[in-house]
Amino acid sequence: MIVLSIAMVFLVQSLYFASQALATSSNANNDCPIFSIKYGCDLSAWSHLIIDGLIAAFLGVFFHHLAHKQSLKLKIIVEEHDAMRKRRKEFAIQSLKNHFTTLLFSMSLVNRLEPMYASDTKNRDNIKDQINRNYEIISRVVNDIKNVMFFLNDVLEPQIITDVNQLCQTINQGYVKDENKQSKLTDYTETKNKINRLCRTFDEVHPAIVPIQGLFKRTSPDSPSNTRSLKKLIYQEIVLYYRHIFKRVYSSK
Amino acid sequence: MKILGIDDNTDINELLDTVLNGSGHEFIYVKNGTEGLKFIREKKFDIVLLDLAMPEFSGFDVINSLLKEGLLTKQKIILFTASSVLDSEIEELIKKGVHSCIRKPVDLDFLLEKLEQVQV
Repeated sequence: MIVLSIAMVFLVQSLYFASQALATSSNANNDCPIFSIKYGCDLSAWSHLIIDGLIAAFLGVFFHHLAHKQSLKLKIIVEEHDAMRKRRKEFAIQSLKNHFTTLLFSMSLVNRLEPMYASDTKNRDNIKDQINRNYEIISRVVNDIKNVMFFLNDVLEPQIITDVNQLCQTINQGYVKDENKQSKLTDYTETKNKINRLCRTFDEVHPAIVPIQGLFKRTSPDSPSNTRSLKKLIYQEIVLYYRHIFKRVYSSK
Repeated sequence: MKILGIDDNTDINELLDTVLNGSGHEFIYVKNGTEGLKFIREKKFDIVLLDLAMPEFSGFDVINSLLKEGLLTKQKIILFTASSVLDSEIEELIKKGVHSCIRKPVDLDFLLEKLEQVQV
């Protein structure tokens, strides 16, 4: 681009001096109207026209090139943003599914431990500790699910957000503290069914969108690899663009 | 039954540790693919529960490494994943030598049942 600009400046300069030379060497009179081409007439009007035309053409090509380059950059940014959004969506669903697995495991464990707590009098303290640890896990996971919903709600469907919130509410309501401050999980089957329904909805609304290998790739547009590929793409496009213009010119000749 | 869990989710690992070790199995877990690969090379396991989406060294990397070393078919590797993997992708992995796939979320009873089936 710089080489082209320097060449253009030299061309304009040489044409300008040529027109000046023509103007000084000619004798303008009434027989020489402004655009007449005769021996001894002033041809500077023609040279001005040519120079202005060339400058206009150069500026036209230059601005067109700038606009093209800019649109390419925008296209890449939009594609990058789109890919990032897809990755965030996949990450949100994966996180939710992992949290649901933890929930189901913990709830299932609590359900197994509670009858043992009632029957086994020797290890009561130990079993109670285990039950409480699982309740802590459930409570933490519910908070984690809420965090996922908070930070990634822009990539999830509203219906899914509502359903997950309802699920969290159901689990929270499941904590019934009796007079001995003993927690109790009311309905494991209901929660399990809700989670299964929710996961079916996930798969329907958000089918597999991102290859897993690409999930943890860096996506920052400032990363060196991205900048390199962006530059490479722009240069390739420019080369193709000028090739296309030259082909057109030669074919018209 | 000797089971190796490769998963970056600590809660799942610890819960499986409680359940599986409590029900007479020997369960060992690692949090990343690199460590998992090391364990598979050094020890013999009846079942390997492998998560696919892990940062740095993913489940796919583990499978590819095992495939290169010819160790993939020597293990019963069960994919235990929350990723939206396509059925075709799973079929491809099974053709390569992976045993089967369990999609998260899953019920504990279902998982135990599945592990018993695999062992038989």
